[in-house]
Amino acid sequence: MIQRTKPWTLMLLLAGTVLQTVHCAGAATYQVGNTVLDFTLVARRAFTNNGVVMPAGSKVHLRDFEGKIVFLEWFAVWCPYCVAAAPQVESGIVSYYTSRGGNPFGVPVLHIAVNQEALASYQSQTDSFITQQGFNPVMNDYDTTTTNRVRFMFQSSGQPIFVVINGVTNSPTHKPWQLLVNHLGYGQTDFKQELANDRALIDAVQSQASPSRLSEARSNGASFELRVQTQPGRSYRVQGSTNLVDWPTLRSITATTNTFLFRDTNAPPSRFYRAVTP
Amino acid sequence: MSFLNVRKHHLFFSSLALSLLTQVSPGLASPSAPLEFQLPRWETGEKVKLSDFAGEMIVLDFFAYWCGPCRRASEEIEKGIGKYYAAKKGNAHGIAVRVLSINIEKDNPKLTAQFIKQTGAEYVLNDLDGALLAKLGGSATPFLVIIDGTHATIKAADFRIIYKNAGFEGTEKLRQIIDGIRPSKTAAIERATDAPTIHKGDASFEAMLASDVQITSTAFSYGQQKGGTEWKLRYAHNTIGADYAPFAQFDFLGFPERIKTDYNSGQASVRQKLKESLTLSVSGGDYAGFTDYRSLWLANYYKQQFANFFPGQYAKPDPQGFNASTGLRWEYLPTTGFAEADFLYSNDEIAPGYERDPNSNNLIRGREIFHTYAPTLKFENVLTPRIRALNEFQLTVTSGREPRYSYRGSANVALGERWTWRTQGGYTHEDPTLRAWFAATTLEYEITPQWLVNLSGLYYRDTGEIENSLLISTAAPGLQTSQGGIGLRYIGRWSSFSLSVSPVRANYEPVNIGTRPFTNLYKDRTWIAVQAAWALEF
Repeated sequence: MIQRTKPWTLMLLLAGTVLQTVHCAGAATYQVGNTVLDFTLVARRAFTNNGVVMPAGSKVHLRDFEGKIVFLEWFAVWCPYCVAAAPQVESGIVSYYTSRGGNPFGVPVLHIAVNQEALASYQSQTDSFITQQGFNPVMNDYDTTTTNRVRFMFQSSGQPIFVVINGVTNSPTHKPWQLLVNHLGYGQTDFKQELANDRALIDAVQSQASPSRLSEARSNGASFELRVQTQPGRSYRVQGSTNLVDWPTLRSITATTNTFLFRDTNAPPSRFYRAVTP
Repeated sequence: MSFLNVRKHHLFFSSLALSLLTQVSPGLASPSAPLEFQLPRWETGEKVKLSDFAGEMIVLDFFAYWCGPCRRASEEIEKGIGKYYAAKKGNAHGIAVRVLSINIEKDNPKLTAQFIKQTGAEYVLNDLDGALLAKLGGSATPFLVIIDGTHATIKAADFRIIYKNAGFEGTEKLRQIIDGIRPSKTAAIERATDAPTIHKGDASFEAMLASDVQITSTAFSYGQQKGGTEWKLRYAHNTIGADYAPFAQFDFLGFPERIKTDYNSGQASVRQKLKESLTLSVSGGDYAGFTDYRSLWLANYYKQQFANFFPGQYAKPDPQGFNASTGLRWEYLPTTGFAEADFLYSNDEIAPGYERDPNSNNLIRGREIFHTYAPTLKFENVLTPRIRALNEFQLTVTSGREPRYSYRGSANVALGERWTWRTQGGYTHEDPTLRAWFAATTLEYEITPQWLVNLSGLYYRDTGEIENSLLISTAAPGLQTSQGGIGLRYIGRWSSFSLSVSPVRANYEPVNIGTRPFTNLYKDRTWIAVQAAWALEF
């Protein structure tokens, strides 16, 4: 009897899960890897973006940050975990990338603090908190309706929320507006490790590579050598072709310096060479 | 064993006398005139009357320091009768036995003092002109008289001489006579109904002091006891002061603040003897205010978080509560076995917790009213004349919680003439995760019958409260407490006094993430606990 009951229970559980999924379908949230559609937030304070001053109260689009990696942090001043997380995000993300001038591929990382508390009674404390934390830019996730909208696209409830979106539209490694991080809460896991994971994901976003120059081509005994101009951190494939149609990869490398010496030890009498990323 | 305890037991134990049949002692006739005397105490001169010992068996041991046989007699009587029956809490039928050593020699008080010291005589009276000795028909020492005071009441000083002898016939013989006396039912009832009203009052002060939290409690009680009825009223005034410090790393809205509160409580209780072996007790009480620094602290947290931001939805807390209990105490084995069943109900309106509703953004208020039902079973047993044991089982059912099961046991052991060891232990269990243990011990030394000094130690440990449903849990993490202390007690005839000082170390386990905002509440502290109490009976 007991053995018979078990599959039943399982089936009920499955049914429950299905129902829940259906129930939530109306408020489905983005998953990591998804392409995030454009959304708007409201500038809480004036800020400058690409040399353009955005006044307080203006509508700010995600698409305004093309070319950047956007790190969004939703907070509320009364939320203890938001308060605890903010200084760690400042040192682990904001200062980290400001001091390095962006990620290893020179992509700027922009931290945007997003206030979700709309109640009038909280606004002066919220301003004090923003000043204390040095948030810039700061957005509100509400307009006149005082209802949050954007944060619910990522998490159905709770705060703080940490979202990282790739705004590099011509990246060789990532889709435009690809969601890299979608993390809720603070302290359930080691937050420092969480930020280190985020950095690893941010650091993997490559900007479009400048074309590689091949030079110093020469025969060296039985082998053929050429020098590939590289950018450290990027991956390159050196390919060869005899008919300019098929380009099998001869060697894959990740560059550590500005040049790389490629030696073809099995060179046919004649062959075209090229280097591609990644 | 302390005198206070003995007296306390008498309250309970005298009742047992009543349930047994009266048996008139054979042989010796009572004197025609009511027997009575009044003699001064050897050291203090305080006047003592025979009628002070109504209801007891009295052994008169007439002596003089120069009387050789008296020395051996007094020594053996002190040990074999006085201490022997004191340890047994009375004779074979529970009647208290009192040895009065009576000095008849007025010269050379120094030598008399030496005699008293050597024989260990505890209660010495002076009959320096030998008038009482003569009245009882004695002419030489040692002279021993046993008086049956079980028939005596306040109105009728019916003391009966059941034995007198010039010379000491050994303690065995005396014990046979003493153990042959059974309580007089009628006299006991008369004593109970004619009993004078005893007034009891006490005052106590307790303080728990840490660098950032100070707690005091001052209590007064007054009660009366007459026969089988006893009532008591108690009033306590408590203060709690704390330096509230928010855990800034997690709390932007909080600010340091001095918080304090008063808490008053009153309790009334009545005990009524229903039958000789059955006592009913009823008690009720009421309080208003914060009863502990933790709830005061938490209430201040919620105030700082929400009062200014939700003026319409946040309500100033007004904690208060009342309780009612009733119990039945049954003496199932005369003088040695007691069982007690109690039932307590309490209603507590606490300072509620608050949090934001993630859907509506409104403030949600946590549970405010708690009902608690707590039945208790207690067993008190005299295992040997030197060991008393108390076992207590309690079930506590509180609104919204799993039932909590508690056991506590204690034992009092008389280690020697002057040493008493009291030890206690307990265990509490609440599903799913709460476990608590404690062990406590006290060693008391009787410097003089009036002055006692004690050393005590306590160790407590629990696994932490069960997390509540709030997003930010207020549940305390696991706690370990160690306490050591020294105390002094004075036990006089009508009043007693005690004082103790003990340092307490309380160490919490690290707060988990859900409780992190309360880091400064659940931080390790060193406390000093001070207790002083004064009790008076008249």
